[in-house]
Amino acid sequence: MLHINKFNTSALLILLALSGFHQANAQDKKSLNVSMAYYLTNNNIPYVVVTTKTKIDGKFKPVNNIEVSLFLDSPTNVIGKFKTAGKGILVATIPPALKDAWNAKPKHTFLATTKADKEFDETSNELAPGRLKIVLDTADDKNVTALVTEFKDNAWTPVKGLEMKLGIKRFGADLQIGDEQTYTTDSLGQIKGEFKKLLMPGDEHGNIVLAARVDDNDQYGNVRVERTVPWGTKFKTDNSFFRRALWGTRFRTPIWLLFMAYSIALSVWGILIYLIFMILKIKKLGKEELAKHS
Amino acid sequence: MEKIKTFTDDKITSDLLPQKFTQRGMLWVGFLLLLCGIGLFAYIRQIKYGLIVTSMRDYASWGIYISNFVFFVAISLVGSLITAILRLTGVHWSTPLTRIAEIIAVSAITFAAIIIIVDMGRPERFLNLPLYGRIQSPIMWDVIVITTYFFISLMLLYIPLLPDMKILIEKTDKSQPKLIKFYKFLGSFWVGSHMQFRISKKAITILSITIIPVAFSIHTVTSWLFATTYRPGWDSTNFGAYFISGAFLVGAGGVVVAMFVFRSMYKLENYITDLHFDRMGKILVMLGLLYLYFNINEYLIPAFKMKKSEEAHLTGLLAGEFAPVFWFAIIVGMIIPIIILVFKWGRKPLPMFVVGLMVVIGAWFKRYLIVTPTLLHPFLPMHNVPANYLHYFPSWEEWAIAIGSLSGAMLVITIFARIFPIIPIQETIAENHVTH
Repeated sequence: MLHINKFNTSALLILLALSGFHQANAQDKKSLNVSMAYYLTNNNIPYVVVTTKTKIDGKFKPVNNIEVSLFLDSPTNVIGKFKTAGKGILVATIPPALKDAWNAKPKHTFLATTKADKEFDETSNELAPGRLKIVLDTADDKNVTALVTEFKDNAWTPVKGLEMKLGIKRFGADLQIGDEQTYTTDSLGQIKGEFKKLLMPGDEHGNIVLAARVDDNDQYGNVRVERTVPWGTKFKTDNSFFRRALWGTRFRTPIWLLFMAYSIALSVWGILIYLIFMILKIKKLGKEELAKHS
Repeated sequence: MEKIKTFTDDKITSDLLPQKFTQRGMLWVGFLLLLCGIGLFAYIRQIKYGLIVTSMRDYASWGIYISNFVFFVAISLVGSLITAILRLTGVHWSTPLTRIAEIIAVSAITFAAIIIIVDMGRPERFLNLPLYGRIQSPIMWDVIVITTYFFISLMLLYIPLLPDMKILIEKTDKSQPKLIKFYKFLGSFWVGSHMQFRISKKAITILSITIIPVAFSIHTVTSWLFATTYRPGWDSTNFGAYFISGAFLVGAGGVVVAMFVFRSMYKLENYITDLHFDRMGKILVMLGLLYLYFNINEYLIPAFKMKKSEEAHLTGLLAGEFAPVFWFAIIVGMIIPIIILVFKWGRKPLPMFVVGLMVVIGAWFKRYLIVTPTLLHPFLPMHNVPANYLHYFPSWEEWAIAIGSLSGAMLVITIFARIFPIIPIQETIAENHVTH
């Protein structure tokens, strides 16, 4: 009886454990977060950046190798299928085949979907950025003006109260042109900034690139316009590294050193070779002498 | 030299012919082989585990391997001193010492080259130096000049050996056919004709002239490995001359030790006489004083100024961590030998042998003092580094390899003396005829 009771208890525990395991399996699927960001630079072809993330231990972590299908407005306008890589990121440009669809409407919606797999459920997201245009203008007194308009009701309308930045394009990031970090458009959709970085190194002609941009805006995404101006100082590349010098590479040895080193080495080794010939001469003389005696 | 003029050619030949190892000789060779074997085992460990088996770390990246290298290069200079300088200045009493000096030079320069490869963590990359090396680098100059010096020393050893080859082929016991075959391979063509003598004499003169600038270059360039780097203790315009004077001193000390050992072991009292010791003693005094003078310049003047950047290094040497070794090298390696050698009794064989040992041992430690303390006193303070980065004491592997290399050099000299006459036979006979 004791054995039967023990068996029953064990069977019950196993069944409970199995059912728990099954439930745990069902709950194991994590939720996938698909976010999209819209980019437009110099009013060229826009592109979207899709990021896939999931929550692990309360923190969002990027997920790679997720296949994302992207569409423009409807599932019939396929932008393409892409896989996230690196830090769970993919970049997709609107293909030429969708040029007509893009031009047909002033505002578009980007759709992103992922299929369900072992780890994640099916996910989708959409983004509908407003169509924004920035015109960057400069004056001789080194004032920078940016006019921001939005395509609305079949016309380009100034955008009021939009936060923007004015900067100088450098390696990796922009440097602000003056004291203000950000500017807000007025009722005419304009911002004005004063260029104060007067000794900014430019290229060899003194050209620098100014940029006006809207960053991570919920309504318009990331829009940027650049303009080249001759406001920098002329930058002369330091080519001393490529000159013949004592610190140069082996192929940039100073001529005087090459001459000295090789002439000394060759003179000494020339003497040594001459001495080897002397030994050979001694050898030859000896053999001749031995031949004579034999 | 006075005594040998009464000897016949046969007597000189039989006295100077290489002799088989006695039991003591065999023991000596076995002992050296054992030390070399331990060194080799340590090196295999170093190859297997990397330079981590040494005590060298980020700061003291040059330890006793490089000290040993500088020591070997220094002692090798004696070939140019005894063979070339004394020969060219018409000094004839040095004839019995020329071969001793030359074999010391050849074995030392060989082991200098070996020890520099031992110091490399990845020795298989040595070929990258000739393949991709920059001629602007003093390391490249050192490689070129060491190779050149090795060949010159080898030729300076070989060409004067040729006249002895004929004697060796004729007089060597026929029970040693392999040895005779070896002699024949090296010099069976020597018949001793007037023309052969004339060419060999000319070749030796050319070599003697060539070896002097090369010898000066070899140690000057070695000193530049340090002096071209801006560091406390190395930032000196005097380093070339300082190194050369030290090299001549240790080389002469090494010859004195070898003279005494060969004289005692091979019963060469009639050929390496008290006169040789006396004259070598006078040379040693002169070289000792010269090196002491350079040392005063190198240490006293910076210590007088005591620049902040040099303070820690100089204090460490004069009164700190390295003071015992420093004062040992100065007092035992220079001052006591000079004091002993100014007296006539001090220039007798046994005191000379002791003095020679003191000079050589002092010189080895002196090289260590030149290399390592500087590295442990960089201009920027050493912060947040492991404790073992701050000090350097060689690991057993380093000691074993360094001792193994020193034993290897002595083994080469010992085996050379077993195969070839350590005193030139033909030259001694010729000089005997002239003085007679």
